[in-house]
Amino acid sequence: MESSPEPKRVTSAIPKREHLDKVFGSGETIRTKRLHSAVGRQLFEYVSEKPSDAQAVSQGRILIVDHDRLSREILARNLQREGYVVEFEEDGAQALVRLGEGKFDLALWEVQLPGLSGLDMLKRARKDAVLQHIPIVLLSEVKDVETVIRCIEAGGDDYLPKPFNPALLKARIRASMERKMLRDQERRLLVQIKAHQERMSAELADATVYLTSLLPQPLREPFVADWRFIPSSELGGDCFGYHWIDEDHFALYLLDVCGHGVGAALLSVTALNVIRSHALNGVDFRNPSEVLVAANRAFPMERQNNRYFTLWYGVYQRSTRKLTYSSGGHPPALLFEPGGVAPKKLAARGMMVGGMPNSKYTSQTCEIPAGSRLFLFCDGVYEITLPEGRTYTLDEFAALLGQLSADTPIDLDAIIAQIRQLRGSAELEDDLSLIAIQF
Amino acid sequence: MELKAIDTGDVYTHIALSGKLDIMGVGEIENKFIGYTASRKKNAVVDISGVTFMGSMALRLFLSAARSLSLEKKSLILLNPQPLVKEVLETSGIEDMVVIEHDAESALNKAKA
Repeated sequence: MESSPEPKRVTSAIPKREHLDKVFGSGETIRTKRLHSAVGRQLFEYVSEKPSDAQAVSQGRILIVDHDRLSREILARNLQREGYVVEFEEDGAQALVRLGEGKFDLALWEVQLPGLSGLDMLKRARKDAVLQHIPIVLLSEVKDVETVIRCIEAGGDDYLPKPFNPALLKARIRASMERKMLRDQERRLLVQIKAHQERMSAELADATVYLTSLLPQPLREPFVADWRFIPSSELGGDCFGYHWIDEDHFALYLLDVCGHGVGAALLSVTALNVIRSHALNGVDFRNPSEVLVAANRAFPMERQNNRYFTLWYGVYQRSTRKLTYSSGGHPPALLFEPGGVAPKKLAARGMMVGGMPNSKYTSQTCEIPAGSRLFLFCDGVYEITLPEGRTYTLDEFAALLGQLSADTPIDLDAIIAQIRQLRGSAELEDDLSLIAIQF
Repeated sequence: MELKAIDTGDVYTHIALSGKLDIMGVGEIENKFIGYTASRKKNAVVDISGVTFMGSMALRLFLSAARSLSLEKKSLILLNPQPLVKEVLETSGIEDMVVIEHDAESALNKAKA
């Protein structure tokens, strides 16, 4: 609510008794009785009485929209005594303009206002971005239920029949004000949350750009290498790469940190940078098992927020057409040789990297005949839940790859489309990383 | 995801897991599982015959429990994995840290030892 200088001082000519009855009802409250027992100066003192010091602190700003001068002035005095700052308006259209300025916490609106009825006003106000947040309490001499229902349905916050009871007025204004305060607080929190989300999204997008920038460019010579990466959340736990160690040795690798999201991505990117920049002391990066042993030593899970990663690391020697590889808990790569019926599973025994100190890793070697196709991937490619409820298997995924024509380039997008079709949804359960090399 | 305590006596722990051990499933039973295994510091037999899927976070859970138990010279024994779950366990290399059994009597005898 907005703070305000001292409330307006309201004075009035002495009203006729029927007018007072119209506003307050006939002798129904103590305040009314006092007014009735008073004449002249007493009434003037009543309406011009200043709020006490304790009440002088503004409880909120209220706009009274009523064409009846006496009614609004007496209303104003009641509200000022409660510490509210009160302003008036006789014209409905002008009242909407003033409310639209956003400086009022509540409006008291005479339903039978000439020119713009309470119902018409509510229909307009509730469509307005500013006005829809201002509680509007309707005042009317009309006591019929239909009017009340129409006003509430149109978005009125409350309804007070005239003649009104000051105690009831006070209670309902306070309740409306409290609701307004809660709504304002909620709106402020929503704005804060939205701003926070936007900042987080921007940071995540920035991180995604960085992560993607680490991934390799497709290769065309001396063999074709390409990849697809689809994280299941903003940031994935997968990372991969390939690069020439020297003129004869080509390294390719894929790692998958347990879980996904920012925590997994941080470890994933760190490990990737270590591998791609050969930042493991004394390690021959042409020797896969040596890389696995060193990575296991460098990233123990107890020092990585209890996270481990799986890693498949291979080195292709161009001069000998041999691929040497090692694995730490990672699914096997699949090698399709020309004319071969089933793929070779390039698996090597070894525990997840960081899972246990001093884990042993072995290197395996295989020939890569010209025309062979090698697929390296994470488990998210095939560990998908099919519509019938069961999990797709590695063997089924291998069979799917086996159906690809050997005479045309590998279409990674088509493979992923088939996986999505099998799953029955474009949404993936886990990060998806897939590298294909056509030798 | 469900975790059922079968025997939590003084000698060993015997529990059973059933359901999908993906990130959500692990989240549902993680604290309870650690409470029944690593925290009790006794050999633990975990019947996983009812586990239909095992993701990386489940492997982390088993690995963490197994590592804690190994410090007490105790073992985590996984009983009766389904074929696909067994394949995941084998691929991960976690067999170096946990015992995989296919016979309940044999598993319980190892737990009592």
